[in-house]
Amino acid sequence: MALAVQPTAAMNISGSPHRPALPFRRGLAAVALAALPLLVALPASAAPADGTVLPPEQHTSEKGRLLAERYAPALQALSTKIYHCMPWVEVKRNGIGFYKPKHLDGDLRYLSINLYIDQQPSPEFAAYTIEERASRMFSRYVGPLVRRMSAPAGLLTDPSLDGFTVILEWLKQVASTPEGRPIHETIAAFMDRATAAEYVAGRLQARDLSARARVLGWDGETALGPLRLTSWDDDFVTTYKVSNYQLAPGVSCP
Amino acid sequence: MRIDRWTLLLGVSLLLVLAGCATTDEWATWKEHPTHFASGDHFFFSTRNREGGAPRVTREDIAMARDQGWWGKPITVSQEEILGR
Repeated sequence: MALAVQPTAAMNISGSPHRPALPFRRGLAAVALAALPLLVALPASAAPADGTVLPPEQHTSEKGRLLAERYAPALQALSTKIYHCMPWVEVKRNGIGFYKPKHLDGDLRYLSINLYIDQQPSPEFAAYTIEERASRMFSRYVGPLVRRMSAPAGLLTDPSLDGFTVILEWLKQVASTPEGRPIHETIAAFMDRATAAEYVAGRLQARDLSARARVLGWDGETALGPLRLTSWDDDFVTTYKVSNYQLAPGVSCP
Repeated sequence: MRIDRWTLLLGVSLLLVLAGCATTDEWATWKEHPTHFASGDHFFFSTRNREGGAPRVTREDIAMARDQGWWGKPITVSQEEILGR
């Protein structure tokens, strides 16, 4: 990166007048090095889902590490599937892993996913209350994601797994800060394993899912605390198609 | 002190380079969005999808468009405030 060309002991900017070529070459090299990122057009997201799954060794307990090792291929497959099949969604860096919800005591391990939803803000959506916006996002994404997250064989009956977390973040309609920084809204939905299993098995309806989940909200960096949401069946994830979107060769989506 | 032309050239080059240097925070942000440099991809997208033809949008095109429409580091809660490792 360009910081590497700041003057250092290796870069003799006082250069001997008798040997002009050397500092000149060094100068050229410095300029070329600085310009390298500008000249090399990196392929956009060449490595799908790269860095989206927290590596097992970065889980801080044996329980978390074992879960992460056991389901590593499934988590990578989940990330790749979301990358290709939900292209308007971005899994955050280290956004998938067996994390500990901060509001719970003990080493409770929830399979967690942290997503940014790339949607254009609209005045209609902004006119809703935060609970109403959160209810719409919860209904649209939480149920379908829990189904996908719980798909790996044996996961829902794995006694080491305590639950699921779905974090959703989207751009807020309101004006950005005076510095021009956009503001995001975030909800985090937590549900224990039994709740998820009941929902996936069809014993718990979508309308009851939000009542069984604990949902926390944030406006930018400001915590809003627990939110009481309503939820319903929403087939957006399975029916929405990005116009003219062409799946990568060899990829299929449900 | 006499400044020879090579030193002058190097000094000016360095100034140009350093003037373009971002802060550590800015570099961290740019590193999280490497496709900010993907103007070559934009070129290829445009040549692949000429006017009148049915456009083809790949996952990489979407990532590129998202990054090029990105205006700065958002204000949002960090994952570390919600989840522990």
